[in-house]
Amino acid sequence: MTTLPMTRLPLLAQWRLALRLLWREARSGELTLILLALLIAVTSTTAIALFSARLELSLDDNSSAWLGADLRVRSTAPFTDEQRQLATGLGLETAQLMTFPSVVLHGDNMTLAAIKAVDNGYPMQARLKVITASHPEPVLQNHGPAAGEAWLEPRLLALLGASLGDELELGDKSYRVTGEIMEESDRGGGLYSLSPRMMVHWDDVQGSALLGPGSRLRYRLLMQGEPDALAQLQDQWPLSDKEKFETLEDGNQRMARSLAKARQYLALASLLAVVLASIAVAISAQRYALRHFDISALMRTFGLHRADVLRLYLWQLVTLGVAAAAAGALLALLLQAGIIQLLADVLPAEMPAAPALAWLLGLSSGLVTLLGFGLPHLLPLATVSPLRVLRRDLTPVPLAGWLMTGLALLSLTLLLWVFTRDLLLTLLVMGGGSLLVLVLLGVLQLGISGLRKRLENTSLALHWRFAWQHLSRNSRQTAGQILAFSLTLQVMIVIAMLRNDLLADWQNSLPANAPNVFAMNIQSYDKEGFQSGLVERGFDAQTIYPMVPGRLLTINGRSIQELGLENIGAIDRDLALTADHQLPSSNRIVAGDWQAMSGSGQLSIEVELAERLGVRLGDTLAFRAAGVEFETSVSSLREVDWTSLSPNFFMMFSSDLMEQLPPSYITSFNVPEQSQAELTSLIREFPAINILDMQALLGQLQSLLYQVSLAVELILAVVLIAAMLVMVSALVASLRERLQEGALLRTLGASSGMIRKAQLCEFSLMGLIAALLALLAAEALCWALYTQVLAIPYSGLGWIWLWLPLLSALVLSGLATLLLRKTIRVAPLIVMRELS
Amino acid sequence: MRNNRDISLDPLEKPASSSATDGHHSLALELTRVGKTVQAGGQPLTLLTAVSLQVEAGTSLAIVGTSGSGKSTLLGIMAGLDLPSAGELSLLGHRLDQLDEDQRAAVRAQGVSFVFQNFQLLPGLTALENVMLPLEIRQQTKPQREAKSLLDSVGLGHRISHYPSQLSGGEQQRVALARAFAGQPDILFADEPTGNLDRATGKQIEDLLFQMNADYGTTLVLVTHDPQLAQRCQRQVRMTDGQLQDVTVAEASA
Repeated sequence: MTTLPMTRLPLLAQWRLALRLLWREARSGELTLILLALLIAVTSTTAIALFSARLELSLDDNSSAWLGADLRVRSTAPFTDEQRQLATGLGLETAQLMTFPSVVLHGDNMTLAAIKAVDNGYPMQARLKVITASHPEPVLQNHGPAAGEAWLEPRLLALLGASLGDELELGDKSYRVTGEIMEESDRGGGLYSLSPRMMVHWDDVQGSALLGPGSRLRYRLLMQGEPDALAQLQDQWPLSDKEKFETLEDGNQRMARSLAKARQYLALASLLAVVLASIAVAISAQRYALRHFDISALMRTFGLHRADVLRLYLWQLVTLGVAAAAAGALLALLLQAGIIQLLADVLPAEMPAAPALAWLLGLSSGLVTLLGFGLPHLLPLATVSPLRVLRRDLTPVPLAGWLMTGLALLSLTLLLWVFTRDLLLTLLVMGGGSLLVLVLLGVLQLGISGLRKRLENTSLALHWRFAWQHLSRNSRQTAGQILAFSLTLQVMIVIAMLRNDLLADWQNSLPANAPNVFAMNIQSYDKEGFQSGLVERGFDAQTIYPMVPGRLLTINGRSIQELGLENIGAIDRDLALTADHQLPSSNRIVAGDWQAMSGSGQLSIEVELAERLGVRLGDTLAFRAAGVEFETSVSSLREVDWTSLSPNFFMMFSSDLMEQLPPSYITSFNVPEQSQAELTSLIREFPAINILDMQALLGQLQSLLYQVSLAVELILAVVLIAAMLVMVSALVASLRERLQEGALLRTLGASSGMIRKAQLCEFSLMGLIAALLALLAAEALCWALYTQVLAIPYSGLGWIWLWLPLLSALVLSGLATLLLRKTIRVAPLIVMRELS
Repeated sequence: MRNNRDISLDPLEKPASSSATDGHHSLALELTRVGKTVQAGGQPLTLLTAVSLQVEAGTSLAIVGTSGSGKSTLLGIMAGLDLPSAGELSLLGHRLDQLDEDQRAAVRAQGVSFVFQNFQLLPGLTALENVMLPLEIRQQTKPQREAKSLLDSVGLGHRISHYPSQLSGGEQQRVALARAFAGQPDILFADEPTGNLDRATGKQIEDLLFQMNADYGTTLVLVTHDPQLAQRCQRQVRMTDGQLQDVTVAEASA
């Protein structure tokens, strides 16, 4: 006998054979389900990645509009040339601005204005809309006012009785009014420093007496450029105690909070979509492997090397993954383009293009899912004994459970981490999730085998017995199947709950009739008149608070300077002091007793400031306001929701203290959209009162939240589709076995009605158990997410407990009837022949 | 990486000691005191005891016996699908008991093929593709042409693009026969090839099998419990409780 070479396939031949096999299987429908699962995994993850990346970019655009730049430094001193050169040296564009309060004059009229002097780099990324003589409609500007010119807010024009073209005096110079500022996205700032705006050119105020000592100057350096350069700058900038990098949080806390939650939700939802798609891939891959034991054994009898069998499958797997990735990418592109088209009205006119990373992320999700969840099931195919062709019972040893689980968990963790860019969230979800799955699996398996023993000698109706036998025969498989359904339901519950509560939370934070205009500096003699002015115009006024600017002098007899506290932000300037007998609705007492405020000389202090100052209940604090010095005793600590749209105070006194002071008043009220004329007339009637119109700002916030809500809805839909896929693939995975069984039962004389009944019983039971488990787990998961991650109060799942188990039983048995109708429709002989 | 070629080829290059050099009377298969013991429920279970057998190239052998007598186990071992726990075994000149699984696969690729009781056609492949598969794996040129002509020779030239589920049992087994002869194997192992077929269809398959076997000059080892089928082989042996007994040499009685 001559020797022959080993049958080892060269790479090209391997690949060609793998492709041919794959193509043949695809044609015969063997691959449909796994391909579909992959396709959904890739499509959903890519679409979500693309959409959220683009949305995030557009949100970033929004937030940089709040800052006016990619990065902003605030300082109480002018920026040095070295500092500016550091930025320009890194290739960053810069702009400078300074703000200070000053009196502006127009003829006999004068008023305090917030002056903003900007250089030629302004407005950079800020949105600045101005009405000019030539453009009566607001036009977006790419520069500030020219030297010698001034742009003013309408409010300031009204206060000064000025109009476009008039001359105003500021310091020792005069300026011609050439623009009316309708929007200034980087206005920012706290409520109490908000005098109406006057914007002038940087050069006009340099060397002016306005900038002398004692003026409250703020300098800001705006920068934009490459993220790397920005990060480098932040590293290299020698930050003195006069300077601070400003973030969106400084600009607008409310906006930042909503955005952070929206991002967390998007990340979480996309993460859950990945989990679901992965489960679908795992189920399909397992079924695929099971159906390929025979071909593997056969190929081995044809003399194929073990390693080559493995490579054949690897090639097929990779090809599948690439095909799914390509098709999924195309679908995802269409999907997100469609969504953007649909939402054209609410989305910003120009959505930035998705970054390459988002593409990479979505596309790689298919491959990672396939390798992590599919490969472990396919690996044993190479070890199928060729003897299987003679003995069907020889199935390959599956990969060790821990290895299979480990691979899946590892790939999932990797995906989630890349997806969410939040290691803590990823580990929390993965750790909690794995633990949950293990516990559920254990409980189910134990429960089933325990029940089986107890039910052994009980007589049940035949269809119930069949159903139960089916469930209990392979407790591990049943547990796995129930778990798949249960996890799917769980994900749906969590996503839907989060969606509802997130939307409700946003709605609550911005109720339709929330105050959108603040009125400050209301003098005692104007108070009554102003209040009736509000009522006449139908404006819903909130509480009116007295307000006196004052300084904290001593704590327990020791001066602030002595205590080294003079640089603490809130007390380095005048505090807004107030008194009221009622606790504001946005405040909450955390220590002490509000009732004490009915006494005399009492103080309620904001809790965080109290901590910074080291102030405890019972301490004595002395203040000076309007030339009067007085002592107070701390009787309560308050937590304040600074994001609420009503006036908030660090210090609140008992009413007796305010009686000796000359307060002005502050309030906030809601102006409906159709009542702008009334607002204007109110401003005209009370020119001395500072009216701060927040409508534009709030409107912007509202439309942003609306966009994000839509994205949230969309992602919910994608997750639901992925969930359905898991259910279908779990059902289809057991289809073959059921077909065989159905055929056998019918040859034994079982009526198709009996089989259908047994199936209905089985799947209702499964749906019921899965739903109950899902509810239990979701309750725990939601609690953790709400309280630990999202910081939304959690009030339980509520009514879902009642209807979900029923619905789940109904849907599952319905789906099963649909998918398994072949088991009772097709003639047994055909089934037996096809499956033989 | 180890060098597959060097290591795996080595045992194959040594002709087995018992193999004769004369091609006409060389042994296709030789078993010397082959035994098989497995562990079942913690107890050792003996499936085969000291089976010795020689099959000359180009001859046909039938192994008969009742269910559970060990004949399928023997077939698996002879074909290199399983390893004996004792004794020596050479197939086509290679000492199978000294080869690892992949080396045995190489022996199979070289010239061993099978026909099974349950046909073992792949449901996802058409008749043509099923026949082509071993040719493709062995990287033969023009697998399609050979597969087509094989299907023609089993009378299924008109049904090459049908899937197994669209074929009757007899037709499926004819496809399996075509596949078994693809690549002109040196030895064919058949496990109850007519076991799943009715008498008349079984007879057709039998005829086809022996016809093709004669045409290709293949060595045939056949496991069956059907005495009539066994009669058509040149030689019959009987398995009883794991032992080979009652060896009949057809030529001697003829």
